[in-house]
Amino acid sequence: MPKQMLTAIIEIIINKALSLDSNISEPLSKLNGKNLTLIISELDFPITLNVELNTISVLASHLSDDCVIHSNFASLAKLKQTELLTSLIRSGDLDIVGDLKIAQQFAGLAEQLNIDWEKQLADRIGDIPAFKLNSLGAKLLKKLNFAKAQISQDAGEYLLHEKRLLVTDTELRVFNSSVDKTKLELDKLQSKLDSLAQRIK
Amino acid sequence: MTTDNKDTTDFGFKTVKAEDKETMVAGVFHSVAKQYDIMNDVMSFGIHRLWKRFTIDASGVRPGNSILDLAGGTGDLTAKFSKLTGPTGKVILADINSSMLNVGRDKLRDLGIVGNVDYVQANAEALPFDDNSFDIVTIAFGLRNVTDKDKALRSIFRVLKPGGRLLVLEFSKPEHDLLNKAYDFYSFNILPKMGELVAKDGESYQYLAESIRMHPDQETLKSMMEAAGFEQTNYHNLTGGIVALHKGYKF
Repeated sequence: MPKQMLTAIIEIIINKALSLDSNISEPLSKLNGKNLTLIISELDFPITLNVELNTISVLASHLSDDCVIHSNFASLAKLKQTELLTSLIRSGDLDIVGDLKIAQQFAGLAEQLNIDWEKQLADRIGDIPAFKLNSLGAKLLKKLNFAKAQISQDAGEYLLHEKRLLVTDTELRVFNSSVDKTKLELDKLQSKLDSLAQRIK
Repeated sequence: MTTDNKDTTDFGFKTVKAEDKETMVAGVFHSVAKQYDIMNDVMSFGIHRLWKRFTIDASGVRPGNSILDLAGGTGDLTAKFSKLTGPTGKVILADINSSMLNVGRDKLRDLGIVGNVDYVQANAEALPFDDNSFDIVTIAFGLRNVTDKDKALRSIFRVLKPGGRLLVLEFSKPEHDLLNKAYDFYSFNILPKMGELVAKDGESYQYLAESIRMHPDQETLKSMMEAAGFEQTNYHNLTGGIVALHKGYKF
């Protein structure tokens, strides 16, 4: 029963996340009675999300043809970029049966989900400890981002100037512009040769 | 299953008069009703939830279906079916035992499940519904408590619509000897003590263990379903055969 275990875990996580956002009930209620089925090529069973009574049930079976998406994990990640939909369908990586609006409403629901983690923490451990933990978390995140930027910059300089494995932006631009210039000269030469060849004929 | 003599039947390991079994089983479930959900979680380590999810996935439920959750007890399957079949569908939670039905009704109402669920006190052997009424009938952990199982299967067959299906989720016979021995030890030594500790009722859980052993094994139940008229009958063992889900269609 690994499928049922997976769908049970997904169902618990989704409904818990939804319960932590007090503003989600309105967009969620618009989905009541609707369901979305995902048939993912890497899985040997469908996953259906069904909304009723403002809760989401997750099944390892097909429920209806409201909206059925046939795809794979890699293409699912690209679905947010609507400009890619046509090329995904053409390439055979995506097939949608039913009402596409339902899929968009589900995606919109995920995007609108906004959990106030500090409030959730405050409800459990109190306002002051939650504020302090949140400030500490923010400081840690800032330091981590700084360290990440620093390491990235240092690594770039090491590869660029010491090992000389990479080129700078300016060098790359100069090289690209030289290539363009050479191409232009070659085109001119080619047209001169063509016109000379015409005259000889 | 009734024994050789139709006047007697099993009640756990005891042989009792057929007409007495109903009252005796009722006594067990009146006693455990309030602690039923918590005991299910404790006894099965929560796995009963996965067995029930498996049943839902195998049911082929569609929005608008009419569903009978027979021996539905505290309404776990009804709660799920109610959401899946939606406002255009109908779920009937039926149980012979009024205490179980009351616990189930209170639980579902507390969950806000009210629109498409009806509650009926009914005996599986003589279902009070019209012929060809339901798309799906489920009986989860209930068939082994029925006095005349063949009669109950025929009654279920009658109320199913053509194309409808019956799903029987029930304890069964483990596939491997080692698991069988471990399961026996658990059932007869640990289970009644857990029942005593949590539900203050060791005897009812002793009956539970005994009734599981007296229940027909996978192949026997399959042939009983076929004898009642079901077609394309099959079963799926869960957790090594400790539980099996039987499915059959009425055409």
